[in-house]
Amino acid sequence: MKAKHDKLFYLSLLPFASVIFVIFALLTFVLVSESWPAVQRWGLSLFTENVWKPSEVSVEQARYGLLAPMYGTLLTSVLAAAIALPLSISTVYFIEELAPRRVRDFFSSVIDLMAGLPTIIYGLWGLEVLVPFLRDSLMYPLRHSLPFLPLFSCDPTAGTSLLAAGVLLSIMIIPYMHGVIKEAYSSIPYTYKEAALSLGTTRYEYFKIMLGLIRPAVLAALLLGLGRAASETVAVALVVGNAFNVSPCLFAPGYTISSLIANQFSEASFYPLMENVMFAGSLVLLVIGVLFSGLGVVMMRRVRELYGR
Amino acid sequence: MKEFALEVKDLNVWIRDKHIIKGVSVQIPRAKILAVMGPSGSGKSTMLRAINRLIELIPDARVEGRVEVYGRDVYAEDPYKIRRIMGTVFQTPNPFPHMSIYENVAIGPKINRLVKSKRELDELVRWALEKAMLWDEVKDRLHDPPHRLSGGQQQRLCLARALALKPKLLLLDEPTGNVDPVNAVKIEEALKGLVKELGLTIVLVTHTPQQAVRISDYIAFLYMGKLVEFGLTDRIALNPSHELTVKFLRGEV
Repeated sequence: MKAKHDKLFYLSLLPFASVIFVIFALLTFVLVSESWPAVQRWGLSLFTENVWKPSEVSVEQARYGLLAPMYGTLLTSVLAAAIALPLSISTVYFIEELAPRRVRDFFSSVIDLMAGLPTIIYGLWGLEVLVPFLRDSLMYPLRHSLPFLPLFSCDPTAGTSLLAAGVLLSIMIIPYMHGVIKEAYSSIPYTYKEAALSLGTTRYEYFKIMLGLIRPAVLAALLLGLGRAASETVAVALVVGNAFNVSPCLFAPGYTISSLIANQFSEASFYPLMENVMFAGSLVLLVIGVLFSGLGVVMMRRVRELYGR
Repeated sequence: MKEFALEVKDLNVWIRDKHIIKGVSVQIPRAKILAVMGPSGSGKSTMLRAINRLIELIPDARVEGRVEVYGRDVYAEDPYKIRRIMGTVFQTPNPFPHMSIYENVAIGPKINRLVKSKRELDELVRWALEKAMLWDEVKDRLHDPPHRLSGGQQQRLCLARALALKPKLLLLDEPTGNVDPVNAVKIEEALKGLVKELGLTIVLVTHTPQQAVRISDYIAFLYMGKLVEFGLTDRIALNPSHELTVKFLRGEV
């Protein structure tokens, strides 16, 4: 920042950069202030009870509790991350270590492409193809062979369910998790690969050492994946079934916070305080998002520090 | 018939269309040190990687010829099995940064199932660190990360990591290239001790003729991928038969 015009350039760009912070601060303020009336009315039970009794007449007769959508958000994103993490790790290994160069380039491009697709496409495909497929070839067989497990304790009537949402979400977050892990994996210095192989490692043992080297990146991928899964809206709204359920059964229809807002916000203005309840829900999403992305970023920084980049 | 510890027969290596190693043959008996010397770019490191098959990590590398280690045909076996009788130390110290000092030494024996109990493993780790002349300096901080050590200490840690495999053949790629003189002397002493006490066979790649003459029993002089001269160190140091060798020993190439 020595030359004068450098300083001017810096000053002229400063407002644009600061706009982002201002927007973020305003957004947080709006979420908090809009949630406040609902939180004031129902207190903590807004987040711990599963009730949805709207009333057009008066606030006195209405009751809301966001437990079901919060539970659905948690369940579907954990399910999605649990499916997506091993798949992302194995695609990274396949692409980086086993595939010939041309196959590798092809796979990488396809996965990058998948990350950029409009999510409504996943939603439609999920509803028309994935849900019936899961219902007939996964849910019913599990329901019949292991009916005593609480996880499989209900009939998958329509197929739209927490499980379907979890599986669809896993497909949607694989490209992100894959991207984070792959970037770290391909930056592992060559000399560590040689060192690991020189110890007489089999492919599996070798890969375990390599994964150990990028452990923070795997954690980061997990956190960012969870964050994305929790915030995904349209696709989930199509396949989750949209019902206020806090059931251990994976085949039951459910709600997530974002699918609830997408489904009901347009009519919420007819019911006193319902909009505010939804803002409270989105505040929960904001907290989850900031927490997971923040931790994910910290992890990514640790990856870079590891090799002194 | 006498069995050699290392026998390289008519070795050729290409990377893409570049001919890196051109028909090299050497053989050394057990419990000897072979120094592979030559200017940079002469193919020394490539030759080492052809012996332990790390060359296969490089896409488009092609190897022809025969390599035998203690009578075993290196290219006829699973690479991971054959690598278990060799230990390798690289030019830049490369202990695994996510493992402690202890774990860095223990990883090899764990993978190769050399030990049955934690106590045995502790003993083996201690043994390897002692042989690498590092034990006294790290015995009180075995669970520290390796980056707390100096470069020379890290390199000795890498030597201990290789030794913990109980290899018969030790391969070293300019192990003192990035290390201060004091540590370089320590490493050289450790190597001599290994040959004397354990009967280990060593292949050491170096670009300094002084080091080669100082510690080796045999010298192979590589130049532009060709083996210019191979023989007993005493003979080559006193009476080199090739003009290029004379020049290299004088530091003129």
